[in-house]
Amino acid sequence: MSIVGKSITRIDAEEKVTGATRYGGDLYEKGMLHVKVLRAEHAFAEIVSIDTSAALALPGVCGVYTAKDVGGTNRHGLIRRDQPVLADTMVRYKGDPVAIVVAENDDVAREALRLIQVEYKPLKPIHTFEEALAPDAPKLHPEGNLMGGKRIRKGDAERALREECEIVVEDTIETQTVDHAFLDLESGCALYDGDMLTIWVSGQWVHEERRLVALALGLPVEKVRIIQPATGGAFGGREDLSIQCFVGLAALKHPGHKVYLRYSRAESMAARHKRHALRIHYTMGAKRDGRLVAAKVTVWSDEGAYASTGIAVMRKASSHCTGPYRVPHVWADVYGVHTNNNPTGAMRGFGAAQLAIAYEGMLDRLAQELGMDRVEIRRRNVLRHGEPITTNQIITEATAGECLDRALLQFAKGIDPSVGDDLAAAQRVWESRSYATRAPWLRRGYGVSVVCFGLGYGDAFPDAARARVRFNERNELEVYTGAVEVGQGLLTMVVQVAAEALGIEPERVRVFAADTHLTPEAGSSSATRQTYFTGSAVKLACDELRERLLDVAETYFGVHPFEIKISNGILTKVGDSGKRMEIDELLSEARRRGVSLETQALFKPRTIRERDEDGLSPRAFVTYLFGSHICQVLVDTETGEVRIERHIAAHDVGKAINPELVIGQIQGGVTQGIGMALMEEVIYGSDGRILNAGFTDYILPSVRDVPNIEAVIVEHEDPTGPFGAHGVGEPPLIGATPAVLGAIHDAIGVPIRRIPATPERVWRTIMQAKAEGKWQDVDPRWERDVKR
Amino acid sequence: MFIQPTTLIEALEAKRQFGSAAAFLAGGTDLVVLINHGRMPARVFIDLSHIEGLSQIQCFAADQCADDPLTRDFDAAKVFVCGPTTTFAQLARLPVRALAEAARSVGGPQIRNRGTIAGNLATASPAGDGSTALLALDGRVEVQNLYGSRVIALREFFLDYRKTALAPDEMIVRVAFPATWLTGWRKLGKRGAMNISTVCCAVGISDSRRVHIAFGSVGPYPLRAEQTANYLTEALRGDPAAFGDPAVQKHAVELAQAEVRPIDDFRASADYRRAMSGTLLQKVMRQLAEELTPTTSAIV
Repeated sequence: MSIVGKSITRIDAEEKVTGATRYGGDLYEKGMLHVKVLRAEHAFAEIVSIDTSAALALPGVCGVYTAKDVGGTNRHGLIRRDQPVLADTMVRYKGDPVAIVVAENDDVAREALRLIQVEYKPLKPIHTFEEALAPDAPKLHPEGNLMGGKRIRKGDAERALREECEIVVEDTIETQTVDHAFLDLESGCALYDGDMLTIWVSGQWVHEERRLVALALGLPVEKVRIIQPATGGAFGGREDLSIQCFVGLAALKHPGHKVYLRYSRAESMAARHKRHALRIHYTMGAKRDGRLVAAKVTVWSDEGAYASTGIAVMRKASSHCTGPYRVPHVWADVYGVHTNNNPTGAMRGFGAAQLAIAYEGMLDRLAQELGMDRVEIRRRNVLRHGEPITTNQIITEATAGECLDRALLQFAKGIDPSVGDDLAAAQRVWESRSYATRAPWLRRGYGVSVVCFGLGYGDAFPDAARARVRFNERNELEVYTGAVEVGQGLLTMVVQVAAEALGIEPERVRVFAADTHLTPEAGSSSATRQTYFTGSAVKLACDELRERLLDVAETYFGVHPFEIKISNGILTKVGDSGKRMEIDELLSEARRRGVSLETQALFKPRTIRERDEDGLSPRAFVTYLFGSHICQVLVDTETGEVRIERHIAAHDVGKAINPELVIGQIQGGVTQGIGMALMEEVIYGSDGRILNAGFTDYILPSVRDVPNIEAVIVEHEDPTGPFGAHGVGEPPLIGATPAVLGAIHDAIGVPIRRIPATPERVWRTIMQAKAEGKWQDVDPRWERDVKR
Repeated sequence: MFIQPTTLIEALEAKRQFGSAAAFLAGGTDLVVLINHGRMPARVFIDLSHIEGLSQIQCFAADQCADDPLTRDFDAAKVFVCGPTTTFAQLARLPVRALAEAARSVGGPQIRNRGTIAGNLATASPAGDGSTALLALDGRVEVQNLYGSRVIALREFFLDYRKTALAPDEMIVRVAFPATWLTGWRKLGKRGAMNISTVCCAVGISDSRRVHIAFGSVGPYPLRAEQTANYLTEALRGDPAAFGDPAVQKHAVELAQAEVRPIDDFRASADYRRAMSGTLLQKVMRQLAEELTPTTSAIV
């Protein structure tokens, strides 16, 4: 292959580097009307009345709108439509929108917000599982505060734990609420021309956003057009609607005027959904030789005020609860609980990330109890080809073990470059890894993780991508896809797949993406799915065009089409470079013959629903991705500070369409995973307000907190993906967090049960170990290795 | 209102006129953040960037200092005097370790290029890294109004949370601190850069071996730990290797933990801050032990 597998420069690189790219916030033009949102004063309250008269009387205010001004259902939500565009009877979290102001300028709009009088009847806000499930707890929604659940029943875990297991470990692990923290704040504009409502706001799935906006605002779906501006990061944070309905409503009320809205960082954090905080109670049982036998997992999930994608996150959590390991008996219950915290929904890792922290943490506990090496216990349990994963789907190509080997080789090469590809030598380097540090209170630790990830929506949810391709009059290939580029490099992937499939130069490909009126639906840029789905749709469409062209070329070459090669825009006969034809010539000939140079393709692989009674399915996901990380940390046991010294991430991506972009995705995911392991945490006050709604106190990793991430690309071609590719988006985050936490556990000898592992939490964990007599002032491994 | 004086006198006149309604704008690393958050910190901004010579650093030998109340009797062979808008980037290059390391730990490069020494002192944040280092250097400021100037020792400068001894018509015009003291610094935060102190600790040892200790983020303003400092001064006089002595370290840690006044907030608990005040002091003592008696083995 001449284009796939090459790190061509991303097609938007120049405009991004020069600052020419226009993100949503850059769409502001003089004369646009300003929209601002009034948010709830209470985390939980009934709305008694809203008086907008004083705000309306303010000069410069063009309009103030509340729920009664919303023409449609006034509801949105990706799975359940339970979230009001503007709160009508009740507010359920501090970020709930109550009214919008449309004004001539920003200051007036801000002042008008202060003049809106809302009378509330406050209720006692619910922030914990216990408060939500108390018998007399006020209900957030009519169905009650238990939003839903998901279960796995495979084998008989309870009996196996009792009778078959020779060792059982049990613990409760709590994960935190995490913010997506993308840089490009929610912003954009809208225009209603009397017929069509056009919205320029970044989401992750333009066609779904169009449906949701049309329903909520009461418009026929074809009268809404969504155009995605350039987008600076999404990570799941743009899956739910953000400002689309606010600018849409404002535009509808002021036809002919463009309206504009841009959140501040504080508003972005206060309004947006978050990653689910989970409480995971995990019991894992094994034989003395380390072979896993049974897992019993109970998960409580903070769903916040609205459903968002919570149900799907619960499914992903349950279906990934034993990761890439062979566990014959699995019992899992996942419960989603409404609270008056921010709604929780999609974020990179989607439930699988939190569960990876749990199963990897439990494996480390088992290894510790058994006195077994943490690589060894994983080797004994990772799935082999043809074995069933948690939900009983047979994994024909289970490359988890291969990823672990590759990570180990990379680890060893960093210490002894002569290891090369000798796995036995790498294993020896691993076994003699050093715990020596400058002082006994500085402890080193090594963490290992092996993770899996089911790609796509799975579970029988319709999952499809379409793409349209055509050669235009200048003989450029136009590719139309509804998929959104959110910064991951989707447009470049599309160019490479199309150019490779047709044998043309990448410069000849023009991509038109993410405009509901120009491009066919491609599903969301989420679930690590677009390389696989849109890549496949683009390839299928290009393959069809290629066949048509070869039909034409065959009469010129006088040979069977499979003997004709197209490469770099030139056709040749295989094995005979003498006869050649330029693609431009071929296209002219095709046009002369009336051959259509436009076509469209659909890629829609099927998945099978997980059965309600046991959560099992022969094909819950179209394909599985595997990865393995090794992390080396230094812990200052006096302060609890953790420094990451090395981080290795090996991922089977099927085939790297663009290796540089794959490495970028791995490094980005690992960085986010490090943030989740060590510092990122949304903190709520007792009134439900986010106390750290800004980057001063919502701590993201800085360049000093992230080492040079050693990305290892494993290519085990997936026959079902385009050119063997499947995807890479989420697994690097999923693998990183448990590897970091495992390394801290290794360093201090006790696990961190609640994350992030801030210096204070690590220090408290050490203090507790001291109090329980589980602490040695000098680690024997340190003494041994310092002398060495 | 935005005033842009070109002389110090004009700046002081404006401050005289508007008093506490006016704020001096230097690097803007605090004021502009507040403005961006919609909390207007003042009605009038007096921009200092057009006044020449406010960011100079000079070094004086002790014999040149005798006549100046700002610089005399520092117990140091040399004294640095900085203009008020000397930036953290400038401070980071000075051969005074505690101050240079503190300056290097503030914000990112952009903030260090903008943020100033007088701004750090006047904003009086409990977490002010520069202020904490200067307190351990027993630094002084010269403040001036239209009618004259006075010198304030920094140990008397911070009065309460975000409250200083500056009068509404006064401006910090010079900052002085010893250039030859042995100093140490350790900061604890939640990440490696762009880091707000959870606790920070600075230690200064004068040329005649008097010890000064300051902590940030463990009280309403940066604190000096006088009793701990007195104890260590005595210990050091008795034994030049005292800083490396675990028993001395232990006692100093206990004294320091009793002297700090931390609170619980969402950044850290009071318990942790108290414990870490001692731990950081111990770490700085280990650093300094090596330099006080170079035979001790250095492990920090």
